[in-house]
Amino acid sequence: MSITELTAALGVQTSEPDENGWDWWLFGATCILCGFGLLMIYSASYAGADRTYGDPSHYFTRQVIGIGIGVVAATLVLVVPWRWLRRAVLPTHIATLILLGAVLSPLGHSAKGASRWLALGPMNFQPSELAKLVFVISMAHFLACNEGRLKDVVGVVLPALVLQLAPFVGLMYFQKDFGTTVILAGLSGVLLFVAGLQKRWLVGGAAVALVGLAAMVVGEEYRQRRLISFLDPFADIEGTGYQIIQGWIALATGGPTGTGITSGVAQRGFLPEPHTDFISAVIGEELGAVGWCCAAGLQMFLVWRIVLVSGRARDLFGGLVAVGIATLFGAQAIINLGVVAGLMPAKGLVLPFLSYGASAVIVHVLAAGIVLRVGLESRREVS
Amino acid sequence: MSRLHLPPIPLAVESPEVVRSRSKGRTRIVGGLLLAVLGLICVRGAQLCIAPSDRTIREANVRRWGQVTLQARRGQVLDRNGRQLATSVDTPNIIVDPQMVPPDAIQPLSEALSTVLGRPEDELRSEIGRKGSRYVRLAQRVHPRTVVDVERVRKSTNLPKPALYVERASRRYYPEETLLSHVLGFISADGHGRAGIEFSLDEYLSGGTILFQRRHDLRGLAVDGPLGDTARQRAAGMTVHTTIDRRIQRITERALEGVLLRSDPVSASAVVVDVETGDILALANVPTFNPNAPGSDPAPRRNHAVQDAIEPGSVFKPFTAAAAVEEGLVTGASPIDCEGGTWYLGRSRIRDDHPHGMVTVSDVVKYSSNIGAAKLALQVGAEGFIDYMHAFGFGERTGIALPGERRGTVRSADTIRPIELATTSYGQGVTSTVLQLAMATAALANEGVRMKPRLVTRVEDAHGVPEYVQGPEEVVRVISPETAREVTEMMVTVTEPGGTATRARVPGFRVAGKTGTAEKAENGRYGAGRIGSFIGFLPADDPVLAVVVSVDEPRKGSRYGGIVAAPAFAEIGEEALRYLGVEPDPELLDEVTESSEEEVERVDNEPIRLAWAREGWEIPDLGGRPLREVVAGLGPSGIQLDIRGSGHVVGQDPPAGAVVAPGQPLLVTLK
Repeated sequence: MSITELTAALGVQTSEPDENGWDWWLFGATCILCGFGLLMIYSASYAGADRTYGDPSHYFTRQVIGIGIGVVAATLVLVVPWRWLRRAVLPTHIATLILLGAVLSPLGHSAKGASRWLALGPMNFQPSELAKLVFVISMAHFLACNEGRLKDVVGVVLPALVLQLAPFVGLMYFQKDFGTTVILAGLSGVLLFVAGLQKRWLVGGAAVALVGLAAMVVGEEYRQRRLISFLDPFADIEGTGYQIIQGWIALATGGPTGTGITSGVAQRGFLPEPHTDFISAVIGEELGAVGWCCAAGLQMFLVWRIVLVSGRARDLFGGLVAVGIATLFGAQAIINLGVVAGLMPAKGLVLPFLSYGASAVIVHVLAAGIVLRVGLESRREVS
Repeated sequence: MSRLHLPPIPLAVESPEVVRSRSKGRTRIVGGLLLAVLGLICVRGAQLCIAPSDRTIREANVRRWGQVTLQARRGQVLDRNGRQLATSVDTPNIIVDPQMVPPDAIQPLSEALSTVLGRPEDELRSEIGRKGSRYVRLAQRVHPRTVVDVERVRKSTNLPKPALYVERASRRYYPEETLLSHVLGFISADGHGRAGIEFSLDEYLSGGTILFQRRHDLRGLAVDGPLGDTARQRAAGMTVHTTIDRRIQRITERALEGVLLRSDPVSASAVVVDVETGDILALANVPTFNPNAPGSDPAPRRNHAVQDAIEPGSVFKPFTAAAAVEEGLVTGASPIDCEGGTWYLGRSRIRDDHPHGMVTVSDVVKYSSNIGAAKLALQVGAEGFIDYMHAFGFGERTGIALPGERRGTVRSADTIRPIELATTSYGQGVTSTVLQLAMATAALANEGVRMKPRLVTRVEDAHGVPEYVQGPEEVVRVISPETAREVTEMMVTVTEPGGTATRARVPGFRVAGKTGTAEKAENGRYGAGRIGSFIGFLPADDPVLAVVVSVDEPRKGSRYGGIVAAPAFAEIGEEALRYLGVEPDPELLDEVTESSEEEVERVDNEPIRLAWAREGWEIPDLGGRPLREVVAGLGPSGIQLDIRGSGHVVGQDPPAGAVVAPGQPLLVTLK
């Protein structure tokens, strides 16, 4: 398989983790991404935050808190015994489902026509961000427990989809969270594939997923409009194409090296979500093609390092968790950047570490911590 | 979880080694795919940055960039001693952006503003609620305290700054009020000069409005910080330094006001020229106007001295005599027959008001004989005479930096008939402006060299870098110094006992002059109206000033130039020479001058002095001060002057003794 060979060639063992299995490269990339994200979030949001809250660092502060919580959670994951973690999978899974359900209850908090948040004191928590990570771990756990039995479609694969995927997707559906649904479906596919699902089932599943996707688009008028505007954003500059055109204007304004941090204009009311979904447009305007490539390049580096960890993993569970997290990061980056670059229809997904989103950054730092832990486990003697 | 699913079917359990090695391969595929797609997106994004499509660039230009025309602060006009004649001050306007005011805030806002601005509430409500507008001016040139009150209202109604704000608009002030109004001109509502220097030097003064391309946000507000002071500095209009001397101008205008009172003319004009340089020291007309409020009647705004060409009459005779002397045909002592007051040239009759027989050429000037002047012109001959008239500057524009200058008419030497030549010699059938007369008179005084009238010496940009510099400029030597002296002596006799203008005498000085009383031509015929005028210079032996006074249609008392214009000439000459410090000849001080010294003193009070008191200037009592002193004294302090009315100060806020920091407002009411 050519891609296998190619990535094998790319994945030459140039940057081995140290003898304990600790991957400084992955750790470093995560830190840089967090710092870069903080910088760009401040730069993209200070004007709007000042106007709305009278505090230019409103979003910045919250992102810092998010990173802090994430670091605490990741540290916890790095120190507790491995088997505790595996025992915690099922309770966490159930707890997450409860949280997702709670969003739909009066405890939930609606914004922008979707109810996805839980009000937790001064900050809102978005369980769907947590759900993505928990889903990866839970699915990996399930598949690892059924290692070697994926030819049994009725006994293993179907229950995996029904018991693991279906509850999440169902709750996502009620939250009208199309993006996360697609991500979850994709993650299921990747995890099943890596766990050893036969190719014919894979092809069949992909076909079913495509039909499902088409059905969702046909079923919702606003998704159709998004698709049309994706095909020709200039057709409706004031309406559906507005955001994407503003993103392109931002990139074009940036040119090769950008206008400089905090000097971007896109965030001055032109871009509706300058510090979240369209942070990369702000990066492009303020730091130009260089900044854009740095953002995308860092994401690629991160994904590459995690894939390497997955390859080194001691057991199937570790490998699946790592590849799932790599997919989680990679797919979100692809969709987020792809929307701005006009290669994907609009979808509300964050750019890992770079977009503002306290819930997302907590989960992503935690996910990086889990991958580091998988790396550590790879060098531990099997007891 | 493992216990949740159905019991395993034992048929196809693969070994962990198989599963693990396959999963590693498949992991690489997944990773490779993710990296490939991300790489593609990365390249596409970079392409969008570096090589955007034309449509994107067009949209960017339309949506992102706003144009701001920045009205430069208009430059100052200064007199020759650097005193402000025209300046610009900032005045506050109250602006609301209706789109920024939420509907439920309109009512409380208009209620609060109604008391602050003193406007009816329903009126404000409809203006604040105006749809589709981003800029509504609620009040103009408000009281500085109102600005503070409005800010308080804004805070109490929780509105952001862009919703309700104060705009500083530049406003033109002429601190000297009516002084020099015809030379200064005035500006229209759009900020451009409409007359005078304001018009002719508009390009310098306005500094050219600067068009700024600047990025704006969605609401049209500037992104790139306030374009305020540095940009305004760059755009600032230039400062114009004039040759006008404020005091001599004041003296001149007061003299003309006297003429207005004594003779009730339609208008009167006077020009004072520095003989050596051709500098216009004063140029005045009555009636006058206040450029701070130019009004709609154009009549008082007319600069008669430059914009009207009139028949000069007898004041032309010195130039005729100069031509004849310069040609070597006569001297001052040469005899000439004045024919007993009536002389026929062909079929045309020339008459003298005061008949004389054989007199000297000098007496022709002294007694103002038309017949004598005609004979001199005929002796010089048409071609030569007309050449001299052109050399004296008649029939061509002087090129002064003022709009609407008239050329005047001198008949062509080729077509002129003898009788026309004869009448031209005493100023009929020829027209000139008062300014032309003044420059020609100055040429006689300047040993025969005619200078170009200089009104503007220097134009400087906001940093004091000169943009335009004008030195004294000779036009032509008209006559020799000897001829000039000869003619000067003739003109001195005019003001000596027996001459036509003894009222032009100035104690302590010999005065050279000539009266004129021209019949006013109306619709091609001479009517009852007269123009009484006087030209002259002094001191006759070493001339400093050339002065021309022209009084159009005196309707009260005498109409003779020697009576209506000569006293004004004397008044200007006397006070101006004293001001300039020209020493009088003690032998000629036949009478002690009365109290006009005190009057010159009164021209200027002690200037306003400010004392710095820790955080600001301590404001003195301004009561009774004229506007110009207020502006001159407080202008450099940085205090935000808000000037109401004109005349003399009747009120100030904060009161005397208060400390006002630069940038803070000070209201001055004048009446």
